[in-house]
Amino acid sequence: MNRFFLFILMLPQALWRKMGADTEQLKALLRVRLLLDGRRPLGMSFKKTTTHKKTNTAVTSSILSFFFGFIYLMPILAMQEQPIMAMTFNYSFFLVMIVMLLTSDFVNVLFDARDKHILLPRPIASPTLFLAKMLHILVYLSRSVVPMALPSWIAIGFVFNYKMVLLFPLVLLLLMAMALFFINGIYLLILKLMPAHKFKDALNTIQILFSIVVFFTMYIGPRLINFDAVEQINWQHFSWMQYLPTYWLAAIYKLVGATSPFASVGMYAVLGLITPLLCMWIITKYLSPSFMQKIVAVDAVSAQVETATPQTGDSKKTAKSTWVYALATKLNTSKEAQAAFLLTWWQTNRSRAFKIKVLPSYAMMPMYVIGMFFLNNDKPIAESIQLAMHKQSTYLFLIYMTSYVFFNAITYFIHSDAYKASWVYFVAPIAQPGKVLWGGLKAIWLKYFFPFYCLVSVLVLSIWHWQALPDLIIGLFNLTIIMTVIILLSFRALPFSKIESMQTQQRKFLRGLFAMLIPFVLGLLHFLILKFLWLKWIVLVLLAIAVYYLIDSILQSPWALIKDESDL
Amino acid sequence: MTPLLAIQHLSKHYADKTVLDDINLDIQRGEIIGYIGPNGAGKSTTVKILTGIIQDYEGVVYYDGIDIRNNLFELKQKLGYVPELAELYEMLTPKEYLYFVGKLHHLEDAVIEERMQNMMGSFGMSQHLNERIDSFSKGMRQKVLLVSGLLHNPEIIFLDEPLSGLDANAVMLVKELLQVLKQQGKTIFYCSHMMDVVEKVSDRIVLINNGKLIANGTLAELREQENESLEAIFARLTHASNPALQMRSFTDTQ
Repeated sequence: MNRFFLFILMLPQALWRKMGADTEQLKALLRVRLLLDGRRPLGMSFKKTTTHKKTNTAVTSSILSFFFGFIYLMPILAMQEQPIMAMTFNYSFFLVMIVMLLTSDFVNVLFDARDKHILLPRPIASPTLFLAKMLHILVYLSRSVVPMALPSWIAIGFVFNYKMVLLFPLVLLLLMAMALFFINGIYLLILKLMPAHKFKDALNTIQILFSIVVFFTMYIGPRLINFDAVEQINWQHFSWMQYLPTYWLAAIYKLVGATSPFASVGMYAVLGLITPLLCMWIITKYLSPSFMQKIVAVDAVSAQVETATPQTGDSKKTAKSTWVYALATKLNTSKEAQAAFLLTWWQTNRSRAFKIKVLPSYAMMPMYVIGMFFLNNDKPIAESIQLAMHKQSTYLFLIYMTSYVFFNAITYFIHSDAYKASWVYFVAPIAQPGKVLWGGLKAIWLKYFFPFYCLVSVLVLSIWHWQALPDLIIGLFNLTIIMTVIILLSFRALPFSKIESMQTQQRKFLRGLFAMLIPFVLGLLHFLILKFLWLKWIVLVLLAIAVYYLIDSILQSPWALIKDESDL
Repeated sequence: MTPLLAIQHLSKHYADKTVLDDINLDIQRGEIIGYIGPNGAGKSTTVKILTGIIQDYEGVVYYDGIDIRNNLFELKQKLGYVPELAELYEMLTPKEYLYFVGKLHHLEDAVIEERMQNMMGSFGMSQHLNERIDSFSKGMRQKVLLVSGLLHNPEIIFLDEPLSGLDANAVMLVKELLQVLKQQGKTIFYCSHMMDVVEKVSDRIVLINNGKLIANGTLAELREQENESLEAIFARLTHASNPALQMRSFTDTQ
């Protein structure tokens, strides 16, 4: 498979050369990247992963992605008379998904710290390295995007015509290239304009902003169009859609006779064809030349800053004087749980990779709530808010949506670039590794979930008053149950002991989709007892018992159940 | 006398490759064993088995007369390990890292604090206790690693290339430390390529090659001629070819 990808990627060699890349180096870099993606690091015990298991996972991921792709069929089925508009919406949905993947998972590929030691001392020009990274990400995007696009690809053959089917792969490729180069171009532009020492801090903000924009687009966009009454839509009221790049891409179908409600489709089709190429050209020509120097500068500056600034003040100060130590001791009876609590607390404070992946979800959740409840296309916003505030189900939704923020945190607290440092767990006298896991998990619960839940509780109590209190307590128990169940089912591993590979990212994405079903189911059950106060108190007791047993099963996790690298 | 560590018929295979082949070795209490061998001979694999990191192997390892498969937890309480590669949670400060390790070994905070101050102070690292490890040089990281391996006052210490990255002064300090530890009755399993250090600090030298134990004895017992250096013994027993000839062919290809 890698040979096939390499062959395809190296087809436009002349173009890569024009963009300033050394094609031999580019090929070598891509070959190694693709080879590495297929290999997983040996765990502490050097247990090797079987090829069979890898193949199965890839096939399962593709099948699940394929089924997920049916969601994108909605505009194609709803707008059968307007193929270009249908494809505009279809591509917009894809774009949102691609941008989500790019902002959360692939930024680490772009700014990979390991490059500093392995690649930067070699005579590799910036455009070569940058292009290698872009093409590598493109391969990974296509592994997720192509199976997802299959239902749409097949559907346009039935709904529209076979000529559009033939053109579909090209437009999809342009869409991926445009998203890839545009997003990474923004990173490079900021890297170019901003002092190196501020860049790392800025990354978090940029990602949060991206996430907000993406979610806003995702939830507000479709609400501006009523899909049920799409045939009666006067498209001239939506002429602004012509300025969307996804419209330009969809306009390419004009070449095979597809129709659009807007004039000058041909011009937009040309824009659709040249924009991705233009993005690529501008970025590699003007932004990527300084890429390598900037990476060096970012790392060098950050090391100086760390050295110059002592992290915890006076070295003679006793450890007891800091409140985190006290908290760890108060909340954990066993020493190994205290150790894991402290490690998790510190690492999550300092790991940029962790922050990048977890913090944006705090911005996404309010966006999601606004989109779901307060932007009803039939009514004005004020009326929608009034309506939502009168429903008890609204606060249930708020309660269970908080699971979204801790899902990312528990997913990523077992992963680290410094996973090899976890050898220390394996030589320490730890009889019950579950205690270590629980110590770390407790830190995550306390730091990334509980304060947010308190905020939501304040909001809920201020609107719905004390009647919501039992539900908030039930919610707290249920969410803790969700967290422990997810850990028991998927992430039973020690804090910061696993490397995150492209495969784990794909699997996590799919597991995440399933994991979101658990809050949905528990939320639904909660909804059923919403009117029965006496029942709530009984449920509360049962939940407390369930929480106790679930925590106990985490604590009792033996070494045999702590996941090896190959299991994740 | 029961050896502290008795290795019997120890073998380890990865698929078709045999990494360790029927190793038999007794280590007495208070001994310093110099465990040497060419690259890829199986030294680190042996250490990983003895420290409980690798658990699927053939043969038996007895610690104080008990099979470590049934006694791994007790063994881990008594062993200290300094791995070959300085893999640490680098975003922590040494102070934070040592607290973390100390707690994994169930030490009281006050004990951790006291030992950390003393040990880091001995390496001249007191003023760096609150700086992040990712800003450290290789030698500084190695010092943190050494302290983390000794913090819980282990009975048996496995050192895998402990001098890696250390400057000359620090090397002298570690050599001295080994002597102090020996005087305290600690047992030390010392893996290294630095023959001069192994020669000076070891009570007994064990040489493995291609996973097989090919020599086991004091320096005097291993010598064929008087004053033969350990380096020469190593080359003789591992059948190394003439380095000058080898390097000539290396440069000829340039």
